[in-house]
Order: sequence, then structure tokens, then C-alpha cells
Amino acid sequence: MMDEEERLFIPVVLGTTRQGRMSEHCAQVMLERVRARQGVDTELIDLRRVPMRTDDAGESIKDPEFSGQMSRADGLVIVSPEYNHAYAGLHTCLKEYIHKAVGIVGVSAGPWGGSRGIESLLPVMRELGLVNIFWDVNFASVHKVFDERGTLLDEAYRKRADKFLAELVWMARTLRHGRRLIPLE
Amino acid sequence: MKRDSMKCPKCGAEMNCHAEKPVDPLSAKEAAAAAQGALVEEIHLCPRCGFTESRRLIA
Repeated sequence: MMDEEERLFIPVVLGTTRQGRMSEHCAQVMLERVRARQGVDTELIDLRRVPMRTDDAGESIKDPEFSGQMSRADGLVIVSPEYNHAYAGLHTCLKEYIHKAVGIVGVSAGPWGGSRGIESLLPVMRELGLVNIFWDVNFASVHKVFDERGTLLDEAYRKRADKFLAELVWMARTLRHGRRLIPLE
Repeated sequence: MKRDSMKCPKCGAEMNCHAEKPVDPLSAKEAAAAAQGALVEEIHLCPRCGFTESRRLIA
């Protein structure tokens, strides 16, 4: 099968475990938009469901299921709310991230759509070996973007998500080709 | 640079080394190598089954 024809796997990572998180609605929108693309498989990875012990030396944070999902992934959509001008915690110790594409979706209660959290997350992505795309999606004033049932109220977000995903899919496909076939000199 | 190839532990195919990352030392020996800028982790991907493997090297 040609590289270009093979399906991509681009999961959506919901990067907060907080109760009452509005980011869950944003992640569902992103999941819907990834599913709408041909040739791409996806699933929601909710960090609330990933065991994260904080009382060992870091071994258990390499959860086998999560590690397997990251190994399979060609790219990631990370939905990252901004808390106190910073990003929420993520798994940050897997070799399976290296030379894979990542796009970041910022979420905030305020008007900047999580952009400060995204900016602080970018150097972390680089250190992990992930390759950032240009486009972000910014859910600003998130309590006004969804109704109480989590229904998206502003159709413009779907269009922004599709722009973002177009670049992420291109980057994911390009990097997969390189990881498989282009050796490091 | 000529690298030693790596066989995929899952399917036996020859893997592609696509990254070399500087890493933090985990032992005194590695710390000495890191001080010389010679401690890296190679990342290999299997083009057949997609498995990722790595190995730490003191160059």
C-alpha cells in the first residue's frame, strides 16, 4: 500500500482532568472534525482515564495503553486549557512522540483563547520531539461558546478546526513518510 | 555517519533511525559522556509494522 493511501491515526488528547472542565466540549468538537476527514482514524484520549501516580520515580506514568496509543499515532490534537497563564499537565516522557505532528487547541474562560498556555507549551512540545504546526484553534470565553448541554453555538469554530486539521494531516503524513523511510545522516 | 542498524523486536524488519536526541545521564558513566556532548538516544521506527524502539548511545 502506498504511504499516501494508508490511513492516519490522529487522536485527540483531552489534557485536563479537572472537574467541570469546558475543554471536554472543545475536545468533542475536534473529535467530530477529525472524524469528518477521509483517511483519518481518531479517538478521544481522556487523561482522566490514564493512571498517573505521582509517588513513584516516574515508571508508572508510562501506562501501557497510553504508550500504545502514542506509538500508533501519526499526529496529535492536544486540547489544553489555560490555567493561571500556563498549560495543564500532560504525559511528557514517551519516546513514541518523536517526529510526530502536533496541533494545540487552546481553551480559556478569558478572551485570549488559551494562547498564553499554548505559548508556554510550545518549548515542551519541541523537547518531546513533537513537530508543531502553524495553526492553533483558540476557544476564547469558552462558557459563551457552548450551551449548557455542550452544543457548539458558533459555527466558525468548525471552519477553524478544519483549517487546523488540514495542516496537521499534511504534517502527519509527511513525517510518517520520513520516520519510516528517510534515515538520519 | 555510519550507524549500526536495528532489527524490529516485533517483526524482524530493519528499522529506520529517524532521530537522535540528546538525553540526560542516568549513571556516572553517562554523565561523563554527556559532559562531552556524546550521550544520545537514537529513535528507530519499523517501516513494516510501525513499532518504535530506542537505544541510548555513548558516542
